[in-house]
Amino acid sequence: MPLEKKYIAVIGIIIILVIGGGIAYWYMTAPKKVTIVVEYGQPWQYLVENLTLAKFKEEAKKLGYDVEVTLRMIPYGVDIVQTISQDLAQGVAGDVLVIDSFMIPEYAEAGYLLDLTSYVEEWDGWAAYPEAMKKIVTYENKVYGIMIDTDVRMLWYRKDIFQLAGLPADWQPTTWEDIIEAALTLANNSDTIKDQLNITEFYPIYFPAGTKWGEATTMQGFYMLLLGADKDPYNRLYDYSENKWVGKSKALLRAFQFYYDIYVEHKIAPEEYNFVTDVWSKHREAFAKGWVAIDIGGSWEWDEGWGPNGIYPIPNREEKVGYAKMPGYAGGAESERPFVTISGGWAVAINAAIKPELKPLAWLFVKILASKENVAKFCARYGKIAPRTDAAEVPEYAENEYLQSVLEYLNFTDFRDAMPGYSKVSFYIQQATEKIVTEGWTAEQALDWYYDQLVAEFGEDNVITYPLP
Amino acid sequence: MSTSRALSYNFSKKIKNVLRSERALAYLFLLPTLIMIFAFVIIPAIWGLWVSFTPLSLVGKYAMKYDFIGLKNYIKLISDADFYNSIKISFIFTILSALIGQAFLGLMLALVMREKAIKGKSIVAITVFLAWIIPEVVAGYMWGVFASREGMMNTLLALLGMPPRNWLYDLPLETIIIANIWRGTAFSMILFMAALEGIPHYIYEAAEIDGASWWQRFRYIILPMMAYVILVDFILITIWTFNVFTMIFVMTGGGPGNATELWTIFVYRRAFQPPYEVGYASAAANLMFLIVFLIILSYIYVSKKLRWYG
Repeated sequence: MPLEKKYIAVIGIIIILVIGGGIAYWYMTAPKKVTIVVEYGQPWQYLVENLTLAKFKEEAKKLGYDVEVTLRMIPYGVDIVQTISQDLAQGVAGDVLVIDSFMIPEYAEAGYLLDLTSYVEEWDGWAAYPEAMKKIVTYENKVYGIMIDTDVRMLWYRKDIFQLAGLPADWQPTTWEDIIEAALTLANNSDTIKDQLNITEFYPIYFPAGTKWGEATTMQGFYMLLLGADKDPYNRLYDYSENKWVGKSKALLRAFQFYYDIYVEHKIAPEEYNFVTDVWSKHREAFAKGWVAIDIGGSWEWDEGWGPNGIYPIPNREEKVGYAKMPGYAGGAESERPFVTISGGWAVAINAAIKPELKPLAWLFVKILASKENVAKFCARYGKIAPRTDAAEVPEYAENEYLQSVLEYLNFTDFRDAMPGYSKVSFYIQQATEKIVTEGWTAEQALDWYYDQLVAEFGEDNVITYPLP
Repeated sequence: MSTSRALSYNFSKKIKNVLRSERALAYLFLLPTLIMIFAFVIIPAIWGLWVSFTPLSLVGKYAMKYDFIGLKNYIKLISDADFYNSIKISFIFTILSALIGQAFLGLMLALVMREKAIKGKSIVAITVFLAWIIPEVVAGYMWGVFASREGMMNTLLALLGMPPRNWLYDLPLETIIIANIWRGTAFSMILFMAALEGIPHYIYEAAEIDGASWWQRFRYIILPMMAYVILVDFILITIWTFNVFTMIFVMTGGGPGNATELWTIFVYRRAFQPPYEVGYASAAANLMFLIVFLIILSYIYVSKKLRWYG
């Protein structure tokens, strides 16, 4: 080879190496472009979009990622649990998911969620969660999510309407009978109330019923009755000593009877509100407009439902809206709990089908979303209870008078029997209440039907019955 | 020409001949459709049949691992009162909204459309077509609002002195039947308009000369000559109406209770809402498919008897 050609070859190789090296350097050092999908319901829009997103992008950039976040928000009016369940089953769910914590056992059994046990062990934020909050997201000793909010439930009532009916504005019923009596007093004054509020429809009391409400019928309505309907442990859907579902009990019968009393016997509750296109919106609207005077619902309604930035703001809310603890059947006279409430809450989790290279990013998103600051600010803004004990260190949360007043409910709160099979049991409860409301079934008919469903689903050996009165 | 070249020449000639034959060409043209049918109808149908013999669930332990359980789903189904209710609702809905409502109204409108003396026909036609082309979800929400307590229906009826009511709660089945008549009449009307155009005009003229009344012309000319088209209309709207889901689901979700739970909604609710029993819902879908298939077979049997009219 002539000398000139050799030089040209050497120069060519050097040029190729320099360019190749440059490309390799650029490839190694340039931010890695990745996309992560976050799926959540509209109630968590502020937490995801306003509090988490920018911080996450910033942190991801420090780690060398050029990350694009696809936000998949499930709007109000669409059932979030059903949508996420279907998305998970079809393999199209987001990488990071905000899920209802009661579904964790069933999602975990289906293999839909990433086991986060090793992640939380190395996360200092995990220590800020009390055992009860850790237990909700744990299934078979594995952690599948991080709680981002929790709640309590109570009776909401309209002080202004109570006063129109001659009832006290500062109301605290101590038995179920007290609630029915107040509702009947309101019913007797319905003409005055309609005239004064200039409304055409009025219902004294509203407890969610039927399948359209989904899980809310079971948790908001039925559980709030069941837990106070008999002494512990006969006030549950599941018997933990026998590991069986409870098919018949005095507590179940009394809870069904309450539905029968308000919807069929006294006709003081709005049947049709349970079957409108958007039941959540209807319940908020009805209470805000004074169509309903006593409502049962979650602690979040104070802000999310009726606050100044809520879905149906109530002017002069503090003067018009009151809340009271839900009493036990006889206020504790039969050894049942004097007052009851129940907590649920939502958790952030990671899809088990996530691409391996996205796992660190998804965990980063989860950590930022569930950080002390974010959880506290979100809960303070929407009247939710923070599951992290250190949220009290954040001024926005600590200075929220309403939240401080409902924290006492945590002293007597309880949780659902959320274990595999629960969503079916919950569905049967919803159906049974629907049959009372629409077909006028008695409590005994509803209980017999409920028992038959449990036996058909789990087998007679897995269903227990307690003596009935 | 060498032996191998001769063989190759003969082979390619045979291929060309096969390709040139009409049968091969027909199969070639059918191939894309067959592939699509196989991929999107046959395989899912086989899968649906298999799943109906398993406890497959959307969530929980049966989401990933499900074994053959024989006829358990079908046995549970035949003792499920809600399933029988959904069949009953579907039959009432199909007979009243499609076979009586849409077909009858469609025929009447088609007859009106060919009357030259009637003014404003095009407005009626546009209105009917609009109902047909509106997306189902939109139509469902429209009816949800229209028939609610605060809706336009009550505003109109208030002019007649009627008190407001929530139609979807008080008279749910009746309301969805009317909504479906409103939505589906256009198809029957178009089909009947085309069929009426096909009847030679001289037959009407001859009947007129013979002094036939409007009813006699309808009874002895129009009805017999359209019998086959009416039957085709019946077959199509029966299938479609049995399969209606979206609009009614948006309007009522199958409720209140299960008052408007068509079989399609029954299947959806069991599969995609708690308790998420996909296997059980598949069994219900298969049984309903069998019922609709038998109805269509009976239609075809009747159509053979009527063919001479065409």
